[in-house]
Amino acid sequence: MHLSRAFVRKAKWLTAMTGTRPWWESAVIYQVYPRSFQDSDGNGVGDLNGITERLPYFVELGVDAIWISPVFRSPMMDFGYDISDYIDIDPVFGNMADFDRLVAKSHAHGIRVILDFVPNHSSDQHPWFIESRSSRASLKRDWYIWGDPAPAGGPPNNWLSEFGGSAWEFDEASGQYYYHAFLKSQPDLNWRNPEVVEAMRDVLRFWMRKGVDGFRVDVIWHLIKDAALRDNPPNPNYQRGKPPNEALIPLYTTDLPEVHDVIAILCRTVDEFSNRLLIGEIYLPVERLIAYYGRDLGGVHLPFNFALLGVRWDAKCIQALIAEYEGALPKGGWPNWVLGNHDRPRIASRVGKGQAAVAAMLLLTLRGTPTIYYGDELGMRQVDIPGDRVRDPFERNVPGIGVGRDGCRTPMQWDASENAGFSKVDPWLPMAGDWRSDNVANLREDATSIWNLHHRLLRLRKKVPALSIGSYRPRFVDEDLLVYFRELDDTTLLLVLNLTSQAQILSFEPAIRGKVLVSTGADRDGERVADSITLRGDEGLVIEL
Amino acid sequence: MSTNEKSEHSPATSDEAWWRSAVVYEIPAISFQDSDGDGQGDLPGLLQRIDYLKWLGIGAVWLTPIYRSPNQDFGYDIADFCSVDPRAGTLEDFDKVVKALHNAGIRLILDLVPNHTSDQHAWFRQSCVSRNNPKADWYVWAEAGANGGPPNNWLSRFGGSGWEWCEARRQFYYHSFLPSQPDLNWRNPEVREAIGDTMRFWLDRGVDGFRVDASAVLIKDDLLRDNPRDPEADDKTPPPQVYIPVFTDDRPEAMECIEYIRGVLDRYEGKLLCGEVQGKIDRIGHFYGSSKPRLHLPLNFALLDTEWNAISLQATIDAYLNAVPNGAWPNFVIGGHDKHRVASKIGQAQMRILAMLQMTIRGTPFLFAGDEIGSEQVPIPPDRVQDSFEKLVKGFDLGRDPERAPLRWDDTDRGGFTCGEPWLPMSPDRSRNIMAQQRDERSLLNLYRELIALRRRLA
Repeated sequence: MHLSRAFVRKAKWLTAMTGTRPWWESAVIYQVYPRSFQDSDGNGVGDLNGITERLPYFVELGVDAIWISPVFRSPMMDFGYDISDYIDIDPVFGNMADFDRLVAKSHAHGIRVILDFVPNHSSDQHPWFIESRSSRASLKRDWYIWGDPAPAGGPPNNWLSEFGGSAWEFDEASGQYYYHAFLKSQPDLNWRNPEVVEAMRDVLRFWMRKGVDGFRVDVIWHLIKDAALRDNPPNPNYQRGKPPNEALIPLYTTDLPEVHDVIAILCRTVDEFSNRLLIGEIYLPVERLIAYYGRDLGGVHLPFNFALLGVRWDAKCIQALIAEYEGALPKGGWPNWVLGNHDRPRIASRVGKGQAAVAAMLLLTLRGTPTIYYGDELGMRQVDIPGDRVRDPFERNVPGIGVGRDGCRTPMQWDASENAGFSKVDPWLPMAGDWRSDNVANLREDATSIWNLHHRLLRLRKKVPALSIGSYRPRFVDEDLLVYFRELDDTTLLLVLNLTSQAQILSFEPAIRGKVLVSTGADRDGERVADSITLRGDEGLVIEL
Repeated sequence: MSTNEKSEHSPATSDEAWWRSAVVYEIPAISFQDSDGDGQGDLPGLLQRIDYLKWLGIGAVWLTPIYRSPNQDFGYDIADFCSVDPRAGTLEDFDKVVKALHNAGIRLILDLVPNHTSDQHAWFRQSCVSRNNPKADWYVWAEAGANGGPPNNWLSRFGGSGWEWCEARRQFYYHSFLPSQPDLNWRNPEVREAIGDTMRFWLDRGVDGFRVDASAVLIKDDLLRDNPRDPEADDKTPPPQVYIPVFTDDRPEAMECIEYIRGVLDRYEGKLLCGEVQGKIDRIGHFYGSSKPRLHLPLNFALLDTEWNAISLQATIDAYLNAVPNGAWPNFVIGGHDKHRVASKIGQAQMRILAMLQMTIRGTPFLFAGDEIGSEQVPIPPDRVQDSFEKLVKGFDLGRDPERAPLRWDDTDRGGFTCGEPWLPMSPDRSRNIMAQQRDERSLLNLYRELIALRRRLA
């Protein structure tokens, strides 16, 4: 059955594979947070037409696909992750014609479009939930997770919301509780109900017929909850000051074995169309993460690998995590790497400006599909948000312990004009303090900037397939350096990254014959390397052997 | 060819999944009962103590290796998989043990050690000779590294490189444990078949299953990739553990080997396959298997490895039970020949609580001989150390002799274990012995016995 055929775009590049490899194995993905990328209509919030305007930017930078965080109709209690209509565009972002134009123009620019798919929960304003809530006898009652009060009153069990408090909300009218893993305005859909599964498959098909090239699936490891609603056990390692939901181990609310069955169905749905990518958002340790490739690779194509988001930034830790990840991959499973996203503190703030360049070189030279978070190519930093400008419901519900995500969602810094070229009016979140200097227009002119480092590395990736699809072989050294080879056919590249701010010397015994292709400081290109090399602090080199 | 016949001595209750309701009792023959005064327990000694096992009420005995062995590693270095070591007795003695246990309604599980042999095994002797003999590819051989040293950085669990040079072949062989324990090459189908044959040899003699030794390490990375250093390692880390065994432990391909072993076993009826696995709860499900069955019971040491308080136990038990796949059966092990005695960790008073927890929780309980009387770690003077691990990696409390000391049956000098000099010192705590606790109605032993009986009655 190929419903897709009539709808598949004719453009040649789209169906072209890289040899027999799926396109995403050699692609670089760029995450666009649409509220903060480009405002085209002067309301201080970014929109679809803004993204369309900026399409040449993606081409110039050298990325292959954009993943756009949710743009669907939503009351915006959780900035689009609370969807009230899965197959419509929210007016704040534009309309369906704007969307169609964005897809068509993206494809004309050779840029693929990946949408955010949010299947775990809808908005409480979604007609499905309104109907489900209307009565216990409603035909859609079982589309959500309803539970009777505990025998002694109160919620059905001890499950907690990620955003604080009980995950159960009482519905006076029908006398039952509904489950919400996140906000109470985000009721969880019941993925044990085949009708829900079918409805969501239709959502995927709707967008694929419009030509989208794939989906990033929000909180995919949450989809199935324990059918018996068993209490989660207390977490013996919980400490005060941590997010309150961490007081319990989410044993019966996340990563249940049955989740792989519904993911396999989603994967098959996506495979009804050709060349579509399915990415899963999964925060789990590597042993559990890799299960999401599915039995016989029937799961998501890329289970997001967030290991770099939380690692202690030194060579030994990073070396170990790369080896553990590479070692755990199932046969045929393609790796991927992420340095930042709309939920986590900016990399430049986490490791400092000097190391941000080294981190960029790491991201773009490891084996696996990289995803760049918008603004990281400028070294954008986590922005302190004054109390009266906080917008994130997580920070509002659980204030003061640093869980707020507004700081990594501030507007893109395009140029030195008013509001950094993002908007003609005051943006929805404050700008970072450094936008007058650290913006695309300025950094593009500075050959040594982090923007130009991204630019050069992305070009090199396109030119040298060893960087995208070549093998990865580490060389463990005693120094605080990351050293690894990327090899394909006759090409061998040597990567040497200094994870410290002090100069370090690496010796080669026997001597090598190499030439620097890219250096983080942009001042050593062409340098010959033989028996040793000195790296300055915060320096990384791509060396061709 | 294997036979599908059931042993004529099968215990009466021979339902397929008998192990769900049985208590399994691990016996290291060398420390259980000596019959000939050489200070080492043996099969005739075990035969004398079957009444005790029946009195206690256990459903199965797991016997640690009794095969011919130079005994460099507690018998886990086997020179002939299909014979009995003369120190333990004869094949005839073995047959008597099987019959007597079955008559007492107790099943017998043997240790299966498929990962490696002794370097004295005929297979290895032949494999060593040249690069092109019929057994040349039966072990893990590799060329020297670039500088003439070992092929990569893999370490032996017992310290030092995991690679040993063989001059005759001018190649290295890999040993996960001692250099005298070369690893078999499980990528070679002939090796699988040979191990299958040894399984059939014992199954045909009436044994009721196997405990698979080191099942997680059967296959090593075929690219021989270096293991990464553990960033958390410091001076207190035993040297063999400074690397994370990414490419030597728990490789995805190891699962096929376990499936093969299970396939051999499943040609017989009512046999149990349990096994030593990678310890992470997150990995348990893989060892049970999904489309193809693997182990009936991947041994679960979570009760031993958890901090002893209610909240930690609750979290661990819940996490474990949840990780056991639907339709699969859990198990709880509280001791073993590689684990410090639990009584030394939680104290005698809490041992009674542990007994009640272990015997009332859902899952097959595994006891290590002596746990039922609260045996503690026995201090071993340096000149009496037997364990190679302690000799090779000193000072990290890794030695396993303290939990392997002979079982104390009474309060005499030699504890009723032997009339000679015991191979390891007897526990100095003479009052903690089986006879005394049999007499004392309120003893830990009698609590265990009552709980086991209750468990049988209310299965």
